[in-house]
Amino acid sequence: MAVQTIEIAPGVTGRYIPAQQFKTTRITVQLLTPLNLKTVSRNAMLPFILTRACKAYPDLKSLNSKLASLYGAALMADVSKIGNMHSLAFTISSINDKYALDNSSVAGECAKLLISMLFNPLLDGARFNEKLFESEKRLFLERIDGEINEKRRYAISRAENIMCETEPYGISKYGPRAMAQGLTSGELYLAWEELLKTAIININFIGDGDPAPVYDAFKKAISSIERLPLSAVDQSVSHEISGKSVTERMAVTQSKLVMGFKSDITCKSELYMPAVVFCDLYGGSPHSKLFQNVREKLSLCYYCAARYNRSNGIILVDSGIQEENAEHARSEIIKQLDEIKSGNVSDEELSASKAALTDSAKSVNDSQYAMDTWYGQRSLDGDIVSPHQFAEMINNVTKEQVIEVSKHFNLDTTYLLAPNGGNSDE
Amino acid sequence: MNNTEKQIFENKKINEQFVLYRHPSGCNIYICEKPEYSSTYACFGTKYGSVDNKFRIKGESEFTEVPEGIAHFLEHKMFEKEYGDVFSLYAKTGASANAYTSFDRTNYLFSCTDNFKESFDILLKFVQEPYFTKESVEKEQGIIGQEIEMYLDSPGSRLLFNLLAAMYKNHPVRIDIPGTVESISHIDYKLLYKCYNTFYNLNNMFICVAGNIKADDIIEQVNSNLKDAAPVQIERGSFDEPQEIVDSYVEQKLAVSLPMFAIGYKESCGSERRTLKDKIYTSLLMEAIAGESSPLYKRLFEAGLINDKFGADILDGYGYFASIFEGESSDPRAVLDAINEEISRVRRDGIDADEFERARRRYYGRLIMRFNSVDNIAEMLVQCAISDTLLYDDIEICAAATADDINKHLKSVFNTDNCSLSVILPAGE
Repeated sequence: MAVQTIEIAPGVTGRYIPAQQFKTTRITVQLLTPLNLKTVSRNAMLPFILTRACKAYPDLKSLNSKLASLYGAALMADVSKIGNMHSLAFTISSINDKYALDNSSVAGECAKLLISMLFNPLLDGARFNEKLFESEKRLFLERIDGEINEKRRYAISRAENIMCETEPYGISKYGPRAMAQGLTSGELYLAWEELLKTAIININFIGDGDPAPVYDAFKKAISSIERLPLSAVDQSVSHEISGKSVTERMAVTQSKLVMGFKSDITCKSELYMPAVVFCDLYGGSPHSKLFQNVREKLSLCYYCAARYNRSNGIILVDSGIQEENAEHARSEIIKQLDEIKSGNVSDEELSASKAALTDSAKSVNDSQYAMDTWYGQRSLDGDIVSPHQFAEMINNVTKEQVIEVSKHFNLDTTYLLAPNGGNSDE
Repeated sequence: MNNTEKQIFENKKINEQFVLYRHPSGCNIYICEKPEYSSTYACFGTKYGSVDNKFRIKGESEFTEVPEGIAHFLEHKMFEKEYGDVFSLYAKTGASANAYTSFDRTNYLFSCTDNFKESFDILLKFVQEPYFTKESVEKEQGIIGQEIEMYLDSPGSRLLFNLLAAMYKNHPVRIDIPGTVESISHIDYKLLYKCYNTFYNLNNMFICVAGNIKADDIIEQVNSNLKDAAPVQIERGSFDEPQEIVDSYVEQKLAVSLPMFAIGYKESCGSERRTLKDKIYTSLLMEAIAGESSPLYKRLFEAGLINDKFGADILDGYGYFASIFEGESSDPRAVLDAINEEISRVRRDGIDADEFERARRRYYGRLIMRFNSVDNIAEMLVQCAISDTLLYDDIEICAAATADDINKHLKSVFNTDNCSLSVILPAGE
């Protein structure tokens, strides 16, 4: 059965993605709003506070007891950036009724719970309950501070901030720490009110059940709000090349090198599909240029990978290396891009990338999480290409297109996270 | 095919089934048909991991001791052949291939939607064809050296291995799976062959496949690809592990924001593994005592002593069984004290019946959710092969568990005198 889309209210789209093979039903409500410095912190904190308590389940114990009795239903909040838009997601995932030990209605209860968390939060007048707010603020600050714990992810996010420092995409998804520190429960209330009114809202229903009751409940809940949905902002970043090179130091053993390449090729471009193939061939798979050369030939690293941001056309290459090898790795990463630009792409490499990409697209429908991510990341696309259509489009890409598209990518920023003791520079 | 060698197991509660085929070589093949999925996950592995560093085969007089990290090194080198690297073969089929080494296993795997037969052929062949040379061993030392350094910066990994070293005196579960830059410098191709010839014997191996395939096709392909070899009988060195922990506290400084902690209770074990029932009852206890819906969790959370990273897990295998609580906290010792106090309280008062029921439901739901993906199903089958259990045993044990059962079980676990605390402190403090 195909994906069915309906408009529930102005700017509110329900997307039913039928899937009978799973033991669970997954429902995600996604709110999209333009990224900007003024609202980023309060918007980012919202999914977390809304999934922590609500009027019906005002504290941790009552909410978690409810979730446990619903067979470990998982309530999740997620914040991410889709180009210059901020995506705030609320997900509930639970086992289907037929697997309950006592024949209870699990999925329906979960849908109700998710909607009541969104629309009936724990408030004191025009602010969030102060005790809840203070506790959530501590967690939010710990989440921001904790970004340094995973060095690979941290280095990538620093590189993005530096590369796009004067643009919306350069704002961290949780916003600056100082702004989070200054948030008040009243501001968070304003953010909640504002987003329900203006955000672009998508509801993904993935599973075996009937989405109509969920849509109806959502429609009823939102009917008292005067909807004035904003339109999506332009996703692209400036194409000016800065040539920045930044080294930062920390108490680490291994250095993380991140190189950011800019291009004018996004998911809206004619050359989008060739760009996807190009990125895989450059650094997406074990047969790629980067893996085969930086790792296998030169033994400089354990990983060296390229990932393509379809919204803004940026490719980030990252690798974990010893600091003294940073220059060697950097020049090899550039050399391998130049190899592709000069036409050094074999038929085997091209068909390997196409095979890997089509195979992985065809497996999207085997995971509710992957399906949710697929449609969530593409929710601003208008007509969304299904994973199977995507696989077919990959097969039409030619070698000439891959070589042509590679010429659109230029190095903009080089970032190195290195051990303490050496020199930092900018 | 002899029908007695093929058995079908099913579970009506969750509407699942799998096939177990016992190949004459001793290699067990576990197959789960999932026609409603597009992809298939297949793996070929050996019951050989980082803990197997002292062994002899039947007939040998001396035990061989090998450098730390050799099982993982061997895993890397299996991908290199005289004709080039194995990834270049998978590159033709489109499969996504990988491998991993843990304490008790080395597993080679791939997942794919198209060209399954070709990819499965590659897997079955390459794992049975060792090719190690002096040069290729040296080349890998650089790559694995960077993998080791990557883990040295991973606070989660350091937290766990520091904990295990504080808990276990002699058992090799205490050593890092990839070894150290120093230990892997002692690996040469002859040692790799020695380990390969000992542990990559079909008698010590398993094959697990889940997805869009037919069991009979798998069996046929396996039968025509597995090489005949005389079974090797492996004797592993004794662990000689005392009952007591080594250190009650261990800390390390790394670039983290908040202190991270892991609290491990060293459960009695001997040289065997504890039963699946022991494991599930212990998990249910951890859930009831400190799970998200427990009074303790609420107290710690509201006091600002834990955040939503807090969780519990069990690490077990031959000769080790550790019940571990971990998370982030400004005051790890206060968390330790609170958990120990709660354990004493429930020992005295018993687990509350409602608390138990919530714990059981949550755990039961999570067991079912694992059947959502073919990757998970195949990996659960690997666990069955390693621990000699059957796929739905845990679901049945959990469904039948009562508050009485776990209150009785509580007497045999969480000895607060046998508990270690591992902490990662923010560097610079």
